[in-house]
Amino acid sequence: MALAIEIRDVRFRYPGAAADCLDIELLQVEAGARVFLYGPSGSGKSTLLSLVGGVIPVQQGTLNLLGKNLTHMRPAKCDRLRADHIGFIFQQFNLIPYLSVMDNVLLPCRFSSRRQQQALAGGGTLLKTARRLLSHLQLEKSEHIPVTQLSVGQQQRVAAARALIGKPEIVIADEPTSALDADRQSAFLDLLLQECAEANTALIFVSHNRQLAAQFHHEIALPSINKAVPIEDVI
Amino acid sequence: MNHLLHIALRSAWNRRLTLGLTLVAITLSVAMLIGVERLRYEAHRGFSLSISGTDLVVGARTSPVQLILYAVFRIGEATSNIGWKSFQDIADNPLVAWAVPISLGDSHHGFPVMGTTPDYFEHFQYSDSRRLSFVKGQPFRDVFDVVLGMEVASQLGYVIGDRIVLSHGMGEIGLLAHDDKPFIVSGILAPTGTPVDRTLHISLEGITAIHLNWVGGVPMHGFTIPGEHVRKFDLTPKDVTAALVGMKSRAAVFKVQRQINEYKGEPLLAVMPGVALEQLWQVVGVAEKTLLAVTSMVVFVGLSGLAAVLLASLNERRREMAILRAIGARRRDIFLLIVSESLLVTLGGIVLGIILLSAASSALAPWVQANYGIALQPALVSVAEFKLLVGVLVVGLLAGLLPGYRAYKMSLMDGLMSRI
Repeated sequence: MALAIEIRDVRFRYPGAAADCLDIELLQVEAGARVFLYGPSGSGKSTLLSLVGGVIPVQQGTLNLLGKNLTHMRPAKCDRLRADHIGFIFQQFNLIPYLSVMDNVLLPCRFSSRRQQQALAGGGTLLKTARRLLSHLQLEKSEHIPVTQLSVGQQQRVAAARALIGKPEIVIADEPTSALDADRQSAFLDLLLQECAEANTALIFVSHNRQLAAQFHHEIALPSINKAVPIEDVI
Repeated sequence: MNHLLHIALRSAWNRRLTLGLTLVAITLSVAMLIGVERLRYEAHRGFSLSISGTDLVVGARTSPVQLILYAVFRIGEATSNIGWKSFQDIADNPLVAWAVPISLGDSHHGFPVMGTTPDYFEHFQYSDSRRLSFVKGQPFRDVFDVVLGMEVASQLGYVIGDRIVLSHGMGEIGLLAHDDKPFIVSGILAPTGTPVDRTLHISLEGITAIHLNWVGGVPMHGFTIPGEHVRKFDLTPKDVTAALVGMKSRAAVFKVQRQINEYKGEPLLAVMPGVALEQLWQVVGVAEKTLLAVTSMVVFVGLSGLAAVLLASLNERRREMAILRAIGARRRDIFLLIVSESLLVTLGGIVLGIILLSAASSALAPWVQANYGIALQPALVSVAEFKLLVGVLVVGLLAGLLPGYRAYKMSLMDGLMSRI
C-alpha cells in the first residue's frame, strides 16, 4: 500500500535552542489510513505537524509526503504541496472571522487549483460541492450565519468541511474535539471519520484523550517514538 | 492574486473603523497637497499674467526687474522719469498700436496713486486677455475724478461720490497732503487679483494739477491755486514714470524694443513683461515651494499613521495569518496581503482626496475669484499633480513594507500553531 507520510531519521531543533525537540527514527502513515496520534503537550506535536505541513523546513533526515521528499524542497513548493494535499483542522478558532461560512469552506479551492478541480470533478459548481459537504456535516442551515455567531461545534464542522473540500489525500486534525463536550465529541468524530472514508483520505487525528483511539486503525504515541523527549517528562 | 485581493478587502472592511480614520487622514492630506499644488500653479499663472496684452513696458534706464516692480507692482520708486517728448515719440512709432503713459509717486493711505489716460482702461489686460471692468461708475472724466481698485474701495469703505485727499510720496506717515485739491470717486473696478486692485487711478492732468504750486517736493510757501482755477493752466505733463506699449504685430516687438533701448533723446529701457515677471517669480516663488514641502510632510505623517495602524493590527491578525498559511498561503502571500492593504488605503485616500478637492474647489471657486482674483479651473489631474500622486502611492507602498515584512517574519515563527 502507498504511503501518505513517511518519516525517517528526522531531527529538528529550533534556532538557538539547546536541544532537539524532535528526533523520530520512523513514522509511516498509509494512504487512506485512520491514525490516532497520541500527543500530549510537550511531546513535539506542534513541530511534527508543522514539518509534515511543510511550514517549517526539514533540517535533517527524510520526510516524504505522498512520495515527494520535503527535505531541501523550496518553501514555495512546500506551500503548494500543503495547499494541494493536506487539510488542517485545529483545536479552535479555525475560521477567518470576516469571511462567510461559504468563503471559509471554499478557501482551499482559492489557493489550490488542484483542490478546485477535484471539488468540481463530482459535477456541478463549487457552491454545490460545498453545500453537499455542509449538509453531510449537518450544517445546511448555517450557511448564512456570520461565522462569529456559530457555536464552537458548528465552527469545528465548518473547519472540517474546509479541510475535506477538494478531496485532499491527508487530513490532519489537531485536537479538533477538545473544545467540545463529550456527546458532541463523538458525534463530530463520527462525521469526520465517515467523510474521510468516503473520500479515501488519510486522517491523522491528534489528541491527548486516548478514549477516542478505539475508532482508529492505528494508534501512535508520539512520546514513545520521539527520542528527543524523555519519557518521564510526559505524563 | 485575485483571491488575495478579495481577502485583503474583506479583512480591511472588518477593521473599517481604524482604517477608516487613517483613510480620512490620508484623504485630507492628499486634498491639501494637491490643493496647495493647484493654488501654487494658479498663483504662478496669475502672477505671470499680472499684465497681459502689453508687449513692452518702457521706463528710464534701470534693471528690468526693477522696472517691472514699480511699473506693474507699484513697489519701490523710479529713479528717474521719461520725458513727455520721449513718450510721444514712442507712441508715434508706426509699429506701435497704442501706448499708455503712467505716472507714479503719490499715494493714499498707503495705496499707490497712478496717473494715466482713459486709454488705460481700454488697453490694460491681465490673466487670459481679461480687460478691466467697472463694478460701479465709469472712468475719470474730470481732472479731479479718481477710479479705485476693488481693494482700495472695500478696505477704506469708499463709494461713488466720496471725496478723498491724496498724499505726496509713498508711505503712510508724515506725508504732505494735497488737501487743497480733493478728488471725487467716479468709478470702482472689479477685482483682478493683480496690483490694479490696490491702485487709485487719476488722469495725468490730475497729477499735474496737484503739483502745480509745488517746487522741489514741497508746496510753494504762501501760494495756492484753488482747484477750480487749475483748468486755466496747461496741464500737459512734463514727464511720466513709465509707459505700457502694444504692437500692431507681435513680430515687431524685438525691433521696437531695440529702437527704444537705442533712443537718442535719453536713456530708456523697454522690457517684455513676461520675461521680467518670470525672473521675479524665481524670487517670490520660494514661499510657494516651502508650502508645498510642508504639505508633503503632512502626507508623510498621514502615511506613517497608516504604517502604525497596520503594525498594531498584526498581533490581532496572527491567528488569521496562521489559518491562511495552513490552507496553503505562501509566505509571500502573507507579505502581499499586508502590502496590498496599505496600497488599497493609500489609493482610496488619493481618489477620495481628489474628489474632496474637486468638490471644495468648485464650491469655493467664485469666492476665490472674487477675493483673490485666482481663477480655480475645475480641472482633472495635471501632469505635475499626477507626479505628486504617484509619489504618494510610492510612499504608501513603502509604508506597507515594514508591517508586511513583520507579518512575514511572524508567520515564519508561528508556523501553524499560533495560540491565541
